[in-house]
Amino acid sequence: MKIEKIAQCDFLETVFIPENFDSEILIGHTGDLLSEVMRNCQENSIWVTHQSHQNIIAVSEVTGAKAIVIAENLNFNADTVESAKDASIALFKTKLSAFECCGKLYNLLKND
Amino acid sequence: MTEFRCNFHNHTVLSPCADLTMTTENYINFLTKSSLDWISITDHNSSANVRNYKKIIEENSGIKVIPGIEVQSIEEVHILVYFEHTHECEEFGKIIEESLIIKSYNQEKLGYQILTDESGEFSEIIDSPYLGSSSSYSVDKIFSMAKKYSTAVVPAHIFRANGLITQLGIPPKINFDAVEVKSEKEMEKAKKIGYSKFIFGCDSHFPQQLENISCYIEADSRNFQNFQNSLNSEKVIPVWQP
Repeated sequence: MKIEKIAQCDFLETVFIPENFDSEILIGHTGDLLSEVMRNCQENSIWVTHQSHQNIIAVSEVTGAKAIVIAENLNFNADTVESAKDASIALFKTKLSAFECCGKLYNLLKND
Repeated sequence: MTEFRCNFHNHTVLSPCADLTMTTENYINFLTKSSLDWISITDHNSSANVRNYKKIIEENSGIKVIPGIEVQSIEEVHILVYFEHTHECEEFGKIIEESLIIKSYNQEKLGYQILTDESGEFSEIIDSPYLGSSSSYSVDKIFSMAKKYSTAVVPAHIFRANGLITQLGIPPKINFDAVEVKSEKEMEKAKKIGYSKFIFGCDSHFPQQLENISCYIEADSRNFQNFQNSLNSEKVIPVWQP
């Protein structure tokens, strides 16, 4: 799925989308323990988390996740947003709980 | 030079997850049975019991106590902060307490948080905030706040629950004074990701654990400078727990 289509979702607010972003989002992951995310998150994922530390960008690079959603109306740290720009990772936020957000994204990707 | 027997990670009755028998009386009972020389008091997110425990332990056992606190960051990383001065530990502890994100909690389910007085008697039950909560501060912020004082900042049990690497996956770019590991295997793993300075603690939550020696420090006396020098020069000698 194209990132533009994900960005159109009414439950997501775009924090940052890299220019010329051409990766397809194929699957999702959710988790806050970055050691677990490193083991289990798959390439071309959209990842739903509560974790805002800068290391989420490094973990995305390692796993090949291409987009991150922070749930519960939380915010990314400023240095995390800066790192996302360097690493070309898309960032979104949502007012929804991680559970609800995952449910909606799951249906979206499944029906694509 | 003397080889001091140490254990720098211990909780008191103030920590909700610590046993209710982690009283000053039991500290004295178990510590005097042990051959320990140097310890620290490191409750979760508060230093309110440090002064009284330190005074009672030092007066009754001859063991030296480093004032400390185990802070939980917003990323749920546990970080030990050791202080040269008790009043600074208390000041920092108050800032952390005020930043805790869970204010009220169920004491019966999650454990009592008990303050002790100068004689070691229970003086007050703290029902807010919940000391098992996270602070609103990040790891980076806690490090920089702690470094305004004379301190050693050491992420606790980095590969275990609430450990730095468990939570953050990759070491953040922070120059910690050391990291705490629990086994030889963990120490080897930590070396591979770039750590070279270590501390080894028992993380005592029950009185029986207070007897355990978790490391040795060679120094001419038990002052904070020597503690920091041992960390910096990679000279803390581990005693692995079974």
